[in-house]
Amino acid sequence: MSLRAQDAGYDSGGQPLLRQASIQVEPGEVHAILGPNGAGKSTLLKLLSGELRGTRGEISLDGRPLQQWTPAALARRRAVLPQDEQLGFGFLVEEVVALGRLPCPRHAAAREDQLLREALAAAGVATLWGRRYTALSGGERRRVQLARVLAQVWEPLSEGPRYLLLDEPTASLDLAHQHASLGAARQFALQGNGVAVVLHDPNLALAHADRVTLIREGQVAGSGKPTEVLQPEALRSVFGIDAVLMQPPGWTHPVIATRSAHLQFPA
Amino acid sequence: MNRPSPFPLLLALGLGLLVAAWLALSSGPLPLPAPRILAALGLPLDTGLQDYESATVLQLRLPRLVLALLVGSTLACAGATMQGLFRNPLAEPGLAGISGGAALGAVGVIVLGASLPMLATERANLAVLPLAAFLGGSLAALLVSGLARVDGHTRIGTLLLAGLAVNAVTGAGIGFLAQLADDLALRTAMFWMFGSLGKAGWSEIAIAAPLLIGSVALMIRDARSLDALLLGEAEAGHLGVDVEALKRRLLLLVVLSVSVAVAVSGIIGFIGLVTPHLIRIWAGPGHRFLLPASALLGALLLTLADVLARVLLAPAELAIGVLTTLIGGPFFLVLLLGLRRRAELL
Repeated sequence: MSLRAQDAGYDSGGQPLLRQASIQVEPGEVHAILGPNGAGKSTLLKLLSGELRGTRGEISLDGRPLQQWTPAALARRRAVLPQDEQLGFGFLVEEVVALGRLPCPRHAAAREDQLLREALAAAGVATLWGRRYTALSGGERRRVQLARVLAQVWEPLSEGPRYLLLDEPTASLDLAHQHASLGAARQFALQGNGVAVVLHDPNLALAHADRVTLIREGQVAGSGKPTEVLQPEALRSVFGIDAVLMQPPGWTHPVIATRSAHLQFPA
Repeated sequence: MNRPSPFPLLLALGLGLLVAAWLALSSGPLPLPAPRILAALGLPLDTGLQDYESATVLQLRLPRLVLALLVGSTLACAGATMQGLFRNPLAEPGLAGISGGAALGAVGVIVLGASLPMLATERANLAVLPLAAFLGGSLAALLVSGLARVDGHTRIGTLLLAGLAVNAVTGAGIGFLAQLADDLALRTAMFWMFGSLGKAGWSEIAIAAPLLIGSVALMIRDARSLDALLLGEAEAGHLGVDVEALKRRLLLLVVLSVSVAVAVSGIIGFIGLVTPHLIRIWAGPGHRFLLPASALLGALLLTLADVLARVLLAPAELAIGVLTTLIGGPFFLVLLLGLRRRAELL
């Protein structure tokens, strides 16, 4: 029971976007994927979602290769939040969230309505009900999209755990909403589901992830518990930055301060 | 804000259709009192109905009305489907080169057919014309969608550009053929290019109706998948939609239905572009309502336009494509200005 990439790689136009990466997203866990721009994080997520078919390796969900899943069956088990969205038509917020219910069996209208409200509330945007989607700010749209993917995998299934694949869900969100969105992912994981989330901020990974995989130049540069993987040496070798790990008194997790490794300050 | 309930709109559309149908049956050079029209339609009324009056209703006005309903609903529904498929509210079947290709096929038969002995008879012409339009439309669409197919994926942007090029070529081809034509052929060709609902009778309708109704029904069946497609192709895929199969299927339905519509009524512009916009203003972009409601409104608009086309210059008849473009063009400009201000695609 897991969503798994085994030695997965993907080439585009002869250039490898992902050389060779293995990752295992376990039910009950939030698994953060970190790495520099162009390292292959989004490509790895697209391979996990089945959007791209890998050049090498194998992707499997609960032990079954993705190619053996029908699109409809896969859509019941996992939802995907892409990096950018392009919805230009004037849907209302709840209509956008309802689009996530396409692969799900339909309930009575009142139950569907309630479910949409629950998903919006989980994403922290319950108050946007009835607003026009195209009139929202970038951060609000991001959270409505999160509500949409939550609605897709909202209900427990007898077939097995559900999975969320989130590509930079915190982009364009303010600090409070960054934590709130990852808190929603955490809630989802607590119900026995798996979450893979691409992040840029190691502090968010320290605060919310159970496991971290570092990607550098299309390969896994480290994987494990956040506090073990996100060490200053690893961050220096992967991102080329200076980093300090600090433990604020009374917090359950440490924080990281970073600066450019090339900056020379006068003494 | 909440969406207004769809029922008042459906009710209004239904009533409007009845009124428009009545106008279509009762207007024309031969004045007919209401009871006689109803009697001609088969109601058991004793009105002293004459045979020629009955024939006017059953052989002239009724087939024309049925054609307006069929073609109007098809063009509007195909337009809405295409806009969803392209995720672009400015898309129209005409844009993919379908209408142009169909018209070129028809005009080619009219102009060149005069010199071919086997096409010279009126009867042969009647049978070959729609077929040629259908072939022309399909060829244009095949060419355009073939050009737009890269690595097994249909690229929407390329498809629009290819449609633009094909339209330019078919336009030039029609112009070239018109230069070759004698006066009579030219007049027939022009009439074809600007559309008319007066050319086809029951025999053409019998062929077109199942194709048009079937296509519209199948488009409506894919409404929820079209909704998902508005999110983007990858997103629709994540929602379990087989996107490539959906695009192929819907393109085929649009090409088939629009070619058949052009084959029986010529090019009638702007119905497919404007009608879905009007529905979206009221009910939003969701296709489960948009597609059937567009079909109803398209039928209503084209029926009214045909009544106008017959009445405005009576006893002469205005080409209906000219009328729909005259009304639809400026109307669409107003819509565009509104869109620009609201920074969305409706």
